[in-house]
Amino acid sequence: MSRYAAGEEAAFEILLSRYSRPLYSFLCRYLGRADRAEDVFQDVFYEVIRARKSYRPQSRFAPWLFRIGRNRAVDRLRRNGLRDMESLDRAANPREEDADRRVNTITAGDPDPETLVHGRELGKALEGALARLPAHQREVLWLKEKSGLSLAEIAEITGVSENTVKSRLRYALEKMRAVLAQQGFDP
Amino acid sequence: MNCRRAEDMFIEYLYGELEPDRAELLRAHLDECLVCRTRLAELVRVRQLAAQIPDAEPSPMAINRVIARAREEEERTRSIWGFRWVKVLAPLCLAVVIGGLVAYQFRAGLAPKPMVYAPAKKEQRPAVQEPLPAPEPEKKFSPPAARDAGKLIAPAAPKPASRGVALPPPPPAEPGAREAAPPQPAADLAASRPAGPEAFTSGGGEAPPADRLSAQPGEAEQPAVGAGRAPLPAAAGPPRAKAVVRDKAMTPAAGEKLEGSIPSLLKEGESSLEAGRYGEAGQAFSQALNFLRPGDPDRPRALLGLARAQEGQKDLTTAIQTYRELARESSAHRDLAEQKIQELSAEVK
Repeated sequence: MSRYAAGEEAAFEILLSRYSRPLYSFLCRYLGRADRAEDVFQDVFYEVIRARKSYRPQSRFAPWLFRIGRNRAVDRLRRNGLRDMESLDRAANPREEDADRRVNTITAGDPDPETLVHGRELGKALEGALARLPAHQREVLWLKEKSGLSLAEIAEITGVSENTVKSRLRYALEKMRAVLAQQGFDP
Repeated sequence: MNCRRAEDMFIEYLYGELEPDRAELLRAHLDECLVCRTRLAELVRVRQLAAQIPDAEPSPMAINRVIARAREEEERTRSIWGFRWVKVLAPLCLAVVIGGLVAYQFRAGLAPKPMVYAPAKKEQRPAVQEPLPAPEPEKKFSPPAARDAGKLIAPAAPKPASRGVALPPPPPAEPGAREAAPPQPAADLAASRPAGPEAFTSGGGEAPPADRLSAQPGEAEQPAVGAGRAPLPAAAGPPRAKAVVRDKAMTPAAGEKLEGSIPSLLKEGESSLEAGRYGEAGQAFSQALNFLRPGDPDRPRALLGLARAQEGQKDLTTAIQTYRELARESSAHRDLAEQKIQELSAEVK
């Protein structure tokens, strides 16, 4: 980001290629709809473009980006009046048509049909377990697993204490384990 | 360490954020506690599974839109900066170019130079201009046209000291000629008329009267006393004849043109005076006076204007002299001039 702020245009495309997937995934999980996630995703990067001149590299870029993303997503939910349990529960599976692709990705490269079937089923079970998590637990779990942010950074983004983040993470993992165990995938 | 404290460390341990000393304590507890070890193993497994959930990808269209916006923004910023620079640099460049041209013109003497008229002072007449009998042979070589017509009336300048002989006085001018208008001896001529470096000064040269401009430049360059004489030192006397040649504006044609525009010069001077542009006013009146002989009805007007301009420029001594000349030449303005002389003299003191 410092290079982009200094006027190196190519640095922006590096940023985009590095952060587009984790950010978009987070937004999909948070907003529950791919089209809204895509809108907010573009808005977030437009904000990065606008703010590049005033960017001060005092902290890491990723927490800054995800903080913008989360704030925009919250605004979007407030604007649409969609911050309810239903939409957030749907957030675990933003696009039904993508579900199979995701499951296939998990087992990509594994030619064994039995393993493939098992993998698909495991993928569905994982998506189901994630969907059953409360939104605040799902949020911290996703940020931790997919964004490479530290516990302190997640605490800052979500506006809670670091201990709260730790306990939310622990509950999220335990609940996932329990759901997977119910579905026959005993970790 | 009990199990509860160990469980509090699980998440940090799981994600590698536990400090080494606390991690050591946890590992010591795990070695002893099967329950905690099992719980932690379950969390590790769930975490591994959760990490396998694939990321969703934004559509290529969304990525392209963002890249396009970044490029747009870059272009816009660049053009804004370019425009700003143009806005700043264009007037700056223009000012530098104009300033350079003006400076060049002044340095090269191309720009019109201010002509300052100051009345002559008798006491300033150089002693070397005392006439001496001119040697006959030199008279023979003086340009007949100029001498006979009395048109070339460059005041005689002294010869270089090494020659030891002062120059002869210039030939007597015709009664109608400007320099000789008041019938005076040649020796007084230079004193009554502006003569000397402080009289007509125009930077590179002085403005001679129009009637003198009828002399050919070639003639003017020659000393009045005849050919064969060495060029006169400039400091010894006013190099009028040379000035005529040097200053292109003072060619005969230009002189006639100026003479014809005396009323406009006076008007210009008066309007400059009213506007407080005393330098320009003085210049205009000085130029007019170059062509106004004593007795000319416009001459007092020019003198009065010049005196006021000099007054405006705080050149009070010169203004007093100009008022004196006005008082001497115009009875209609005498009272006014004398009053001003008194006021300015008091101010000078």
